Amino acid sequence: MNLPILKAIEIKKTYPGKPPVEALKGVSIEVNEGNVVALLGPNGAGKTTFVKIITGLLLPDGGDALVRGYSVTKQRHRALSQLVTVLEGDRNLRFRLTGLENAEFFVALSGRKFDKKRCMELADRFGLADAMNRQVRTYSKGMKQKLSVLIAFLTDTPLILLDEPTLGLDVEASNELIEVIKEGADAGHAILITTHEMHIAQKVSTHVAIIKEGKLVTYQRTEQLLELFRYREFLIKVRPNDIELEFPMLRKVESNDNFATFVLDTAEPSDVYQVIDMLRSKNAEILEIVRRQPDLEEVYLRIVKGGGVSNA
Amino acid sequence: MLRLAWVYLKTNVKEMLRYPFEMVNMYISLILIFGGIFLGIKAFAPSVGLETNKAGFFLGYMLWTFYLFTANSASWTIYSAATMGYLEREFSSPFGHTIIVVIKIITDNLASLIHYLLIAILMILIFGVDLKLDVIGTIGLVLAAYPFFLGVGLIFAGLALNVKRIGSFISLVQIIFMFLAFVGGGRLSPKVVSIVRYFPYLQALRVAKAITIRGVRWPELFVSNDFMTLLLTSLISFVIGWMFFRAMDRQAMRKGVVGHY
Repeated sequence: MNLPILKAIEIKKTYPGKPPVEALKGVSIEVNEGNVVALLGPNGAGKTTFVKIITGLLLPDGGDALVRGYSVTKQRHRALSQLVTVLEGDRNLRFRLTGLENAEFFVALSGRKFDKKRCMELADRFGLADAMNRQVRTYSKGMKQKLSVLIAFLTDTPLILLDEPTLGLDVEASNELIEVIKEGADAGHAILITTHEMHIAQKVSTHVAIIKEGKLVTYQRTEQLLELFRYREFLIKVRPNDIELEFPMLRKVESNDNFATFVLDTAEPSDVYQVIDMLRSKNAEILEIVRRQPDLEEVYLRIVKGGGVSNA
Repeated sequence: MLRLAWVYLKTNVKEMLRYPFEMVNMYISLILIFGGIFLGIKAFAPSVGLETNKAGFFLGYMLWTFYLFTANSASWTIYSAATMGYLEREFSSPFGHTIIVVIKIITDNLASLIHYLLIAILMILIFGVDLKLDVIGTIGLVLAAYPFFLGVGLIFAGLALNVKRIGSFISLVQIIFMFLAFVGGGRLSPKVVSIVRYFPYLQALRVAKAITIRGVRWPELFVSNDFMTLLLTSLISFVIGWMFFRAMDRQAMRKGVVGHY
């Protein structure tokens, strides 16, 4: 049986202080080969604490994380040899070294052998081949980010953690990075990404994990999560535009010169029929009823505001 | 691990050469401090007898600069990695942070060795120090004192990891060490001497005095009590520094303050 590449078991962490801050209240998660998990959550939800514990920067108060079966608390060195992290911002490179020198340095730091040929192949794939002999301080933000991710793939560990990998990148650079991440997952890496950019998470992830107030409120396949909400939301366009209606989980989202748009948040077809009847009783003309496909950003906001999938 | 040490050495030398302004400033500062004290004593306190013991004075100063290179580079290693941003990457290296810091200090010192020797030659030429030293004995002295300097460096690095800004504390210790280098343990009161008797830095100065003043040569030097005591206390200091750093490392992990500057 294949071991999960990452298995977090009931991780707890409280930061001391007055009052103490309970950052993680028992988070469990399993990440397997080929998974790209988008770890989402509002600021202060506990994402960074979670990533810091996995990468050995922080000791948990309870629980453990196993990377390829090695405990980050009890077999720290072995566990850390199975993963590489690209931290958010300018924290992954030495600016006075060239791209090639950085690659050699950080691969050696991870205890791996530097393969210059493969490095240049990857650089070619990342569009950095011509810049590899230049000092990193001359790179643009996008180039630095791409080099950091290149080094992570070059290190070739089973688990790759990417903290806000597309932050501050232009659309083109973001899309290139997304492709590279997908290729990495296809090659068998397990990739954990933290991001606030929902469209990126939607494009790149196979799974979505949402942490809120130190608890994991959702963890499932991205398409399943979106599907779950697809059947729960109906868009109803009616005329006249000033019509008002009171119904549980019904909200008016738009009112223009010609029509009003309501969103009905339900999984029950009978609710839809009830609303139609109520609209007709008010002599409203129903222009359109469609099942809506919310994007990840909407799903995320509803889960975070509602407290979880079951309450959404 | 050797591969990592080699990569650190290569990258340290390259970075050093790419910051030439820093390098030139360091040369000028170290030569000026030596010149200031050396010429100052000659001018205002001729009774100190510097003329007859220029080599001893020089060796004391070089021990102090060696301490500077080692201990300072340890805290600098933490500070610069934190400010340049890759401290967390080093911290989560599978080699373990203590090993990484020791490798960094040693390779940093090796990279600085060329500067160190160049500074020594420049000072000899500028101030006319007539140096007749037992080279093997002097190398032995430096190697025996090195674990002590590493130990102090690890203590500084551990403090820098948790307390963060320790620049003024490092400066204070620097001044104390400089004071000891020039005054020597022998001029302290007997009460103080009895307290700091086994302090490796004073032991190192005592061995330096044996080489420069008494002219003890290496076969005899290496079996002397002073040398053996220096070696032993120096190694103990390294172990203490290592344990202190590991405890501080653990503390930083518990508090979650790695990389917060």
